[in-house]
Amino acid sequence: MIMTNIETIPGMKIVGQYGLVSGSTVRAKNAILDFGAGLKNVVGGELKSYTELLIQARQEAISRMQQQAQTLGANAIVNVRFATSAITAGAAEVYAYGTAVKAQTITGA
Amino acid sequence: MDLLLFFLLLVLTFCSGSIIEKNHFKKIIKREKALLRSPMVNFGVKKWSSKRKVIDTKLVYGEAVISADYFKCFVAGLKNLFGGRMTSFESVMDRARREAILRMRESAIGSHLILNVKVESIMINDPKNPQSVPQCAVMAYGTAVTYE
Amino acid sequence: MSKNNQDSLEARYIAMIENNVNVSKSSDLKEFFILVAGIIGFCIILFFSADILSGVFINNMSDKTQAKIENLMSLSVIPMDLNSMADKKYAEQLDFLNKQKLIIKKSNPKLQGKSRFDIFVYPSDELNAFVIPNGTIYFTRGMLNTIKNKQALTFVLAHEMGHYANRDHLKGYSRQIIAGVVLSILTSGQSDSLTSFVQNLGMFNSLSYSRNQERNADLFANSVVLKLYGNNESAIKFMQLIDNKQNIPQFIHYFSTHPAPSERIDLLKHNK
Repeated sequence: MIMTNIETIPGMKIVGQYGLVSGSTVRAKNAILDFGAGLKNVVGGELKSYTELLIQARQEAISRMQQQAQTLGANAIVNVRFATSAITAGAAEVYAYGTAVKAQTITGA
Repeated sequence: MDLLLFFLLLVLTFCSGSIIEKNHFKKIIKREKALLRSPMVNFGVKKWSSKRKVIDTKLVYGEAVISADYFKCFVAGLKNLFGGRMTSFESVMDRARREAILRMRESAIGSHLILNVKVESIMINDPKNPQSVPQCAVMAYGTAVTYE
Repeated sequence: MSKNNQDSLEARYIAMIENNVNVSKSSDLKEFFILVAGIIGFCIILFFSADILSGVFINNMSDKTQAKIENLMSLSVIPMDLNSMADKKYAEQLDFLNKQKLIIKKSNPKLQGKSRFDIFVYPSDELNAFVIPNGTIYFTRGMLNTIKNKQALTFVLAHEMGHYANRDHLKGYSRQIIAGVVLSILTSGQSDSLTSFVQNLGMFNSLSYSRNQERNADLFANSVVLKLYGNNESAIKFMQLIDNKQNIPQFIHYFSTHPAPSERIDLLKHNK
């Protein structure tokens, strides 16, 4: 599935649109990793476990959004945007939304 | 005694919370089906309006604040120890967003298209207090366009 | 676009709305039970592994370490001089007990050079005796009034000293500390109700542990009495007296800190 965060797909023509599709998820890391991240806060640097948490949440939100687009019969999502919110301490909430469209490659001149 | 109260609270909030959630989802699905033919996109107007004359353009909004119940918070707190997907909060966020988007679409009834839809969400509970129940405030906005 | 195409698109929209992928299918209640079971299991494992470790440590530590730990703890325990308040009529019995105390202390390597084992009379009419963590032993007034037999008194004294020799007081303390630590990890020091709930659950286990300790103390006392007197008939008689006095249905003993007296009589009878 093609995804862009601009309004078009370069090199392709949008032939139909199916409206807004969205995917969201809330994920958390276990207490031991939370504790480790708390310790890491003292010295600073990258919190690897939380980076991983964000990656997982983003992947899941995108895959859910794609599932919705597939149900509608779209083959691309344009103008994808992400929103996050701090639902509780130590949890990541990611919301992805975009417009499901049908795109065709431009053939010939 | 204290413990009994705690369990009573869990059972009570579970029952009430799940009934409210079930009814809310039913309502949301019904309203979404009714609005099936009013399209909504989240990009600009450049490509879609050139062929027909626009007679009305207006900004439309929808807001909703949904709170999780005590039981959901308790389950999520336990889940936070083990890690993984917090399923109990997913439905809260989903309800809040769909409700906000639905209110926006309902205020745009009569328009042909809603353009450049954006969804913003904030938590309006006190994040420093771990006992406070998450209250999810969602705001959806877009431009409603009516053709001739 | 035909009408048929339009219909199928609408059907796809409805499918998207009804088959909501943004909410997981598993129910909250199921999740709740799995999580609670997981946490309780985790805590039980943590508690027992810590308990076994501390038991091994307490059994194997040197007497010096024990003395240090006791000094730290007995700061809060002020031995009351209750004898000044007690009647003069117990003086003879106390003299006897103090003599026996020295004999028992000398004969057992586990009791060398630790506590002074002060003996006091406790102003209560119940039939009881107990030892506090710094080794001070209390006999109740009721006990001294009822029991005149010297062998039985020796048995009671040896039983209390047996608790001390087995370091039961330290084991009890370590259990309490471990339970407290596990609970505070579990609740992050927040939920009081959950804490009290788990504490109530833990009661049963610590009771049976305590009964096991009583059994060991009985065995210790029995061996002392056998060594000093050559028989343990008066000790058995004493137990039978307790059995008659208590007169509680058998099943209640599961909730008691001591084994049933009949059980204790059997134990003594089998170890002649």
